[in-house]
Amino acid sequence: MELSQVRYFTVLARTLHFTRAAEECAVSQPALTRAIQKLEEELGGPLFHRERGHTQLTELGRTVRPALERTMESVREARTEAQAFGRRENSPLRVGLEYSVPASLLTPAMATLRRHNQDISLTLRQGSQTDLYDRMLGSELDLVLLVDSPTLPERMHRWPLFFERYMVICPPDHRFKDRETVGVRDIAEECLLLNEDAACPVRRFVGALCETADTKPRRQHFANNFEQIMEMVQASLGISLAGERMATMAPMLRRPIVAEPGGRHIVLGAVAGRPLGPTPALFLKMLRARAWGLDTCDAAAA
Amino acid sequence: MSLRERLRAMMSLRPSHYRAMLDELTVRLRRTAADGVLKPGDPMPDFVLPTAGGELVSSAELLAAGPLVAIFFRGDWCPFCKTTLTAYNDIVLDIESLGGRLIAITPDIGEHAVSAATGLALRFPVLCDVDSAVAMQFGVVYRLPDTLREFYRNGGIDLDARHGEESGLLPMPGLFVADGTGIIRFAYVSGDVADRAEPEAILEALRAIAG
Repeated sequence: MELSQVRYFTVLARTLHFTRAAEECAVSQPALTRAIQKLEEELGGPLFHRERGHTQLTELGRTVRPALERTMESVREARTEAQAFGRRENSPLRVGLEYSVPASLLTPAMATLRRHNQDISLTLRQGSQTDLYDRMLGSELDLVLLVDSPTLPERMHRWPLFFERYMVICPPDHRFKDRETVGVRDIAEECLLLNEDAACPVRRFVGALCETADTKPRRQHFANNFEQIMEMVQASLGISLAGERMATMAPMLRRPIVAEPGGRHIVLGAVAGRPLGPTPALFLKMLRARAWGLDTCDAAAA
Repeated sequence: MSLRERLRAMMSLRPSHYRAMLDELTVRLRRTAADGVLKPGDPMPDFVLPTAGGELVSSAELLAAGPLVAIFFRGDWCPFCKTTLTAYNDIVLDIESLGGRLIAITPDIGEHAVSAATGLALRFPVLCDVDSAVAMQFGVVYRLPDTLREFYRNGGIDLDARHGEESGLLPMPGLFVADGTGIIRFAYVSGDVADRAEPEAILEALRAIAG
């Protein structure tokens, strides 16, 4: 299919008016009609119902519209990315990370941009899903990395990146050291160290886990970042949980949790239909293209 | 045996109803899509694409070093693509000795793109064309008919998962050779999955560019 055909289709799907679409695309109406007919031939059926003075998308038209609009947007982005890349221009890159999603996920892509002398101007923000989404809607963030959940708003376009297991994080000499896995009842017997924000996905996971098993953690302490929690784990104040890609500074004992689901899907989100600057657009592409399985457990091995 | 003969022989072993679906697609693409494909004399679109390993490859940076051979392939789920990539892999040194560089572009992302590069021990990069945005600029994109999509899905090939999106777009397999100024000097694109440029045709195009 030709780029011009896709463009004419997306404009006609929006205006539902051949004359106006032709004007907007700066072509004659017969040229636009021929292009649409050719696209219809390629796609194997009519895209529009043409009734007197009334144009409507057919079912096929409605089916292909989101993909073709997205492709058109991607082509626009790809062109500006290539131009900006050649000129070493950058646009700000502002990425939100939901609590417990490690910033280390972004470092390989950032290092690649740096290697190509792309002088990126980066802002990272950690927060709850709601806070990050509001900031993205308010144009304070370009992209967000989140733990997938059914409550994510529809207006957010999301791309699955990978699945990771939850791990129990304990001091190296903890009683779990001779165990291969840990169950919910084992966890409930411990003092749990968690994020003070109840919106933290790890806390939601633990809460759901205990509720399903009809149990409660014996004791809990709270802190507002992972570093503080790890300090407390190291001081043997209790145990915590993290996604398996979360690295720790000090050596810790890590054990997978026996639960269903015993992990989470990490997704990349952006506001649907909102154009991104060249650097965020390229960054998004790098994250989507990445073979995440290649670096699994780097963090766990650390 | 030429590449084309090998691909033809492979095609003859496929089930007849699959061959019939592909034949119908080929006829349709030749009638409707061939006009939009970039041709010799057209400038090659400027692009930057990631590899699944986290690298970025820029066409402008490659062209600054000499001619560029860009292959579009469907994915390593396609036996015709695998045979073709292997045949081109065998002439990488010849391409480089003529000053050229070879890259392969696929809509597959992540582990699926890595498995093509590592499984076939390719000596050239495999670039992930996320959302088919680059293939679209070369005019090689088509939407896979639902019947074929279903056929592949039933065979365990989930293109939506491989592409990380659900558009069902695929590139017509093909090849473009641009000279160091970025002008396309040779193009071979066919709507027929079993019809690919011979490796020797790539070398001939590079010799012509070298003058």
